Amino acid sequence: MYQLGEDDHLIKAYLEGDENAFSSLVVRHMDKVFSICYRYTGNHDDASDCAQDIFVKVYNNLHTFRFKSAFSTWLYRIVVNSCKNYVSKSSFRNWNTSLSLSASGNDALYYADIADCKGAPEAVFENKEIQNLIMQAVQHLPGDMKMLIILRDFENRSYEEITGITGMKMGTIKSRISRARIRLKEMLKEDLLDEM
Amino acid sequence: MKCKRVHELLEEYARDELSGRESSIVKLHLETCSRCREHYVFLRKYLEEVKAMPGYRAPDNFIESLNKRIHEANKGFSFSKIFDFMFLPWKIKLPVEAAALLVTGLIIITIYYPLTDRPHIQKEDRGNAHYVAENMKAKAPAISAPAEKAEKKTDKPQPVTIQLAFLVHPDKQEMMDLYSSSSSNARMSAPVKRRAAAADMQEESVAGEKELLEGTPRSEQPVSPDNVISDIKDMVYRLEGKVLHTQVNEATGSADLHVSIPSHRANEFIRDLSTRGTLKDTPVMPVHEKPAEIIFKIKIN
Repeated sequence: MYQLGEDDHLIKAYLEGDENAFSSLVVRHMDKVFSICYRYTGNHDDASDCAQDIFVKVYNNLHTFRFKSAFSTWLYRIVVNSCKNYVSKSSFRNWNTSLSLSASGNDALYYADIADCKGAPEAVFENKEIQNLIMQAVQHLPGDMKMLIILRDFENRSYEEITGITGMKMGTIKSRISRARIRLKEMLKEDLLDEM
Repeated sequence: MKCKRVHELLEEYARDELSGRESSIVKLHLETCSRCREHYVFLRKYLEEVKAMPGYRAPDNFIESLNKRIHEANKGFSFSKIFDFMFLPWKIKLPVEAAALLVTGLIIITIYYPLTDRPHIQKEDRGNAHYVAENMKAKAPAISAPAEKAEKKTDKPQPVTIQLAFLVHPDKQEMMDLYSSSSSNARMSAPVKRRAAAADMQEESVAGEKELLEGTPRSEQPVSPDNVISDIKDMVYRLEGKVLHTQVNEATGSADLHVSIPSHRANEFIRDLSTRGTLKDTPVMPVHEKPAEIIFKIKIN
């Protein structure tokens, strides 16, 4: 039997007319949603736009939530579909816009992280460079593989959760993630394996 | 164990999430397979780096922007919403819309320009003995533009049917007289013809000609539908037309004749025909920019 969590109480409060409950719900999940959107779109502005789209959908469809599964699973399902649709739309709108992870928005986050870091600046820069390379390699994966890698490797979702979110079979998910990592290795082996 | 299966298990092996048996199988495989070993090394490094990556924070004004957007989204419709609804995702909607347009176009073409000939509107005035017929082109200006375009594209002559009642009646006797006058002229002997021509030159009047013709005994110029038909046929061949159908009803003395005349000579044919009998309300042919054929359905009584 599924037990109601804090998200569910907030949803119930919102459905009973408490608008602040929805804001609290957004605050609880906006960083995670934004993070996935950013990793999927590779662009700060697009990620912000896409994340807002997702919460507008949540706002409009929250009354259809049945409290039979975790709100996060329901939310991630919307995130996955919305990210795919958003990229499809933006590829139409910005035909020639190339994705770049060194955008100004990313720089802002980048320097914020460096300021928090206790290690030597050179090591931090080196790590950031490798992480940027990984992010760029992830951007080159096909849509389905990219989302599965984000959910599994970056968001640490279990295979069971990913099954619930995407509706794919476990075997398919494992196989696609495995193939995605082989592709990543082809793109990153010179940068990652040479260091060792 | 195959490399493909090992690749699927390597992540869990790297995270120490495999059972003892599977773990030892993978370990054994890695000792013997250099490719899988290399992949394992990469995977460990990759997972390490990914784990060290910070999560991203939403922009500071995220909640305010979201509230604004929710407010706008529920306010009413905008052109961008309509655009999104109509065309996005474009990979799906554009092909579907293109197919729908094509089908609609085909339906419109099928309705306004069927593959068969257009039915002709015929209106018969049974009470009077004169031609009655109109073709659709003359009477129906509402032919659609696509259909007209399609017609212009074809250089093939388009048949137009005109039905004529070529009658000797109501004053059959007078008609016979008139007809016999012209047909007898053809049958006159050469001296008589010369005399007639001379008389024409002298008098130069229709009345005089009639007088001359009336001089010929009526009983010597028998009028039958066959004669009329042969006369009309001569006219048709002279005008580069074709005789399509001939039917004579001996019992009633009537005949049906279907002939085809090039459109540019149709008026000439009607003019010639009207000199051989009574044709009230001589039809005026519609102007044909492209070559066309006019089919006349002539009823001789």
